[in-house]
Amino acid sequence: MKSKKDGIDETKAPLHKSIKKSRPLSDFKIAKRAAPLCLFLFRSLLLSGMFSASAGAATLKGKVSLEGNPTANPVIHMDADPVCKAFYAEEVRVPSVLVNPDRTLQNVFVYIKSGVTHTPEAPKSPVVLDQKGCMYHPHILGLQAGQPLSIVNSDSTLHNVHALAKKNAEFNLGMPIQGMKLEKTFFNPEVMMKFKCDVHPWMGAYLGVLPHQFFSVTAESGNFEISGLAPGEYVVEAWHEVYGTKSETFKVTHTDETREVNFNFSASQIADEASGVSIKTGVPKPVRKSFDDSTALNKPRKKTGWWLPESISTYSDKIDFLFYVILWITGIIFFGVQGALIWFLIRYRRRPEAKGYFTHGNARVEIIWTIIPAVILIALAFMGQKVWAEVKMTMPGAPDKIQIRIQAEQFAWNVQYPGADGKFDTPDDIRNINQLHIPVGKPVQVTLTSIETADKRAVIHSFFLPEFRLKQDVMPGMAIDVWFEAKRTGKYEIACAEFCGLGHYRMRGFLSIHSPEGFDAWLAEQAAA
Amino acid sequence: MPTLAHPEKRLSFWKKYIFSTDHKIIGIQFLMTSLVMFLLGGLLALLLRWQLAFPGKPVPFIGNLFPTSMMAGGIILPEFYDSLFTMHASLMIFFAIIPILVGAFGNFLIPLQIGAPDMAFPRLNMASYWLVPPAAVIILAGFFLEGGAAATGWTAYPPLSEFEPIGQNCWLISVILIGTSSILGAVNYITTILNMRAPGMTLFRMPLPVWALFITAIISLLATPVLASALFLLLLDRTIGTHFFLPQGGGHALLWQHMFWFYSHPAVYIMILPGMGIVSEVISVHSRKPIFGYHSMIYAIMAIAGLGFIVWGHHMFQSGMNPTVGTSFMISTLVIAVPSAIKTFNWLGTLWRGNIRYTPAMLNAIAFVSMFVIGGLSGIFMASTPVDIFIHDTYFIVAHIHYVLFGGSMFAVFAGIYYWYPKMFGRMMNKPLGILHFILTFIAFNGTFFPMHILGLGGMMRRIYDTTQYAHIAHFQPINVFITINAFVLGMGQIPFILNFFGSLLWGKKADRNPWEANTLEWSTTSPPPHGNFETVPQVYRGPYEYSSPESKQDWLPQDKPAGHGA
Repeated sequence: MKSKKDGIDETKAPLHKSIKKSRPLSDFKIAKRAAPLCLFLFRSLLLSGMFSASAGAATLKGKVSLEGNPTANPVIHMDADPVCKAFYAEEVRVPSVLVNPDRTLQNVFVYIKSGVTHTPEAPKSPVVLDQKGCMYHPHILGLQAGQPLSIVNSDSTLHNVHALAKKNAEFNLGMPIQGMKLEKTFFNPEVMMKFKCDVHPWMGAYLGVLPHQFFSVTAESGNFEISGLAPGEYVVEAWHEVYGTKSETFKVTHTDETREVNFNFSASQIADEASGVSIKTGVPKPVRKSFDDSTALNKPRKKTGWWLPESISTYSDKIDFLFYVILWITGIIFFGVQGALIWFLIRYRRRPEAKGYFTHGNARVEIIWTIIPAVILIALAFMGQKVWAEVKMTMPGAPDKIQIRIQAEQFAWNVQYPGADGKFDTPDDIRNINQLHIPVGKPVQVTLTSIETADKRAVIHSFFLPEFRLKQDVMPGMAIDVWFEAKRTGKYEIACAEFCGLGHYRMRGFLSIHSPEGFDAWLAEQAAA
Repeated sequence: MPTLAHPEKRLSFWKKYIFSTDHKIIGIQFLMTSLVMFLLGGLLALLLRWQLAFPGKPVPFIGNLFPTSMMAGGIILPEFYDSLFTMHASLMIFFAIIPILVGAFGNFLIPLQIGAPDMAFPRLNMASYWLVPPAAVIILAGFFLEGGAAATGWTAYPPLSEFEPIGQNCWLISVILIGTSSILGAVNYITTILNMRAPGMTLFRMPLPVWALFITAIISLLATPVLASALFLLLLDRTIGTHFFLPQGGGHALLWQHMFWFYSHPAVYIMILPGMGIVSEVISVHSRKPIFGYHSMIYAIMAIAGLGFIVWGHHMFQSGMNPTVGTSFMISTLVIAVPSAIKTFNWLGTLWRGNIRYTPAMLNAIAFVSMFVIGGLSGIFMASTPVDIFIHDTYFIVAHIHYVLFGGSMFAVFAGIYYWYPKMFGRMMNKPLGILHFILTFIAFNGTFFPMHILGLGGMMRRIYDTTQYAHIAHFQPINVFITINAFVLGMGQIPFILNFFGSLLWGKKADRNPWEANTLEWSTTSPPPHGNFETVPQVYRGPYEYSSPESKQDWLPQDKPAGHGA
């Protein structure tokens, strides 16, 4: 049996790879093409799995229960998307704490944390994460590193699947079309990786990426079962999104024994989502940050109508001023010329038997209407040059300016901070994807480059901060510096303004402008992580 | 010297209408082909407007007819959307506007207005037309190939265009062919104008459309080879692995932008100067007045053409080109607004104290002036480098280009068609239908493109598939819906034109020689003119715009009418 399985891997796996390499095809198409093959592999693996289980390996069984009365799950308001709202006649709640009448707890991810010595190759069959009814199904899931995850959109609305991966590549992809599929593979174990939808903030799912297949999610019964364990000493951990983790050690001595481990969570002990630290309910969550900057970050954005966006950089008002100067000048010319045109059309409409005024022109008026526009236009050039020089021709000299590198790829912004040592490409560098954090009131100098990754090309992007009135193309083969300084705090966006391929329209980054103390705290927190 | 017009020879249908060397037939062939491409380009625009107004909603009625590589359940896929905006622009620029203005009007008007029996090189002329149909087939073939038609924008910026599917090669080959066609046409126009003018037709007695086409031909001849080389280099990069535009092989992606815009900025003038010539003609005839400042009009055309070669960098202000170079391009770009202003004031001067007749041709010519003012003024915003930082690559530029190329060039094309249709086909077009077409087009055009300025000011980027993704532009969605509704009305508005164009061929009133009481030479021959154009070689006595001259009792005085016989 083992040899058969290896045989399958050898013959079929390269074929699968070769399909993947036959770019350019969207992930979506690849998933379609590979589906029958995956199904075949899945069946073969299932057979081999059953065979090896019955060959005499131990099984771990147990149940997870909850003590005390949990607080109610938050209600979801779907008013923002009528498509979602239409799915539900009744109130919907976030499916985070699901307790059975017998006090057992659903949606607990139970997995072997350590002790597994032999790890088989990852199955080729994909695990499916479905976006259906504007919820993720399943809510909790697991897979082995290297095993594909197939993300499906079953809704007729746009979902934007955002994997908040920490040990794997983060991604943030729009899925505009019903029936669309995406296939993603994670290569590093990570428990747990949160998925959220940037369009529908209530949507969440948790994925456990493990180096093996020994995991289980407590189902409606609250029970779990992990089979196929070889003799040895193991640590098993139960993870719940609200109640944190609990672990137990157990030993397997005989190949066909069945061990039982039960977990008991307490409703009064909930975990901080980010840290997993257990705390008492009723007490506010401890602020893990050394500084709470949420007031600065959540400072409401000024409402703008159908006109220029907010102006928040030190030079944006100057650019807007120049814009208004030109608007006034061209506005006056516009009304003058169109007014004269309409006046002439009415005043000099045809009169029968009349003739036009016979003239071939007048040199003096020709000179006047040559010189006046020329003077105005040259003056505009001079006015413009001053601002142009400030924005694009000089870089800030301040010694305490923030230096950041942004590497644009198809279709994301990789942000790099030099870290405590102030030097780039050292181990203490802070790296982020699509998340740019800057302080208010300090010049920021960003070096822009375009990079290629495994299956993506270095192409031209354009770094666009609408509210800063800043735009700069990112040119492959060049490192281009830009600078900006924010006048206020808050959350804004980075857009790509140069067409860069299929995902151009969703090459969106997020900009957080902190208070100076908040930025320092954020840096410290990033350095610690 | 032009030979005497010869009596019409008996030619077979094929020789007469298909493989014709007669400049009039070739002009009409260009016109027909380009109008079909114009229609096709317009339909592509409507599809992409649908996606912009209703992202992710299936296209009604026809959505399900498209294969799954283009639409999923009637919903336009991002891949297809990218092809749509690329092909819309490519068809409109390379296959509609340039061939109508330069190919159709250039061919039809030049010999007739200078009093020549035909072009200097009739066979070269035929070759220049017959490069167009294969080019059209090749560029459209992209839609049926794996990976779809070209999808990198009409600017095809590498490195992106280096890695796109095979449709990009079709695009490159096709544009090389159409560029060759332009070059052949240009050689022909220049030679014809310089050598084949009728006796007495000095350069400064030439009608303004001929002047505009002459200068346009010089621009084409100087700029198009640079585009052709850029296209060829990119084709080499894509096919035999050179690295002209790839930094990893020592090339530079900015090189393409310089070569491309060195052609494509002058190309904007290729697309507007003939229109200016046509409009000058129509306005002068319908105002019954000489064109105001004939000489300054010509010098303005020359200035635009000359300056047009040193402004290309304004497309690259934010590209990473040295910002100091940006400064010099800012100055040259602002200066080029001066000759454009001169032309506008001269048109106003021509209308001033005229005796204005309103026909569909005149209405379209007036619309040209009015819309060109908007397109010209919006250009000043982009010419100013700091303002351009914000509005570069936004819908502001989309608005600007459409005010120049539709508000400008297309209204001039309509004016030209309504004006010369009687001479081309010997029949009059229907006036009420023409006015209906004008009103629908004018209102829907402004409804479609004016709000794009506002989208641009809001920071909405060009070429994005889904406009609802970003917080700073999501609230502009009602404007997108409004634009799309207007775009559909604009599309519908072309139906009266199509009916009028083809209906008048069959049922139009027979046109006499000079229905507009105009001065230029083409109106002194029959409608349509015979093979060889003129019964006798015309003798030219005066400039083209002697309307309301005291020399004549009537308010027009043809160029070939001997002096003293006017009364």
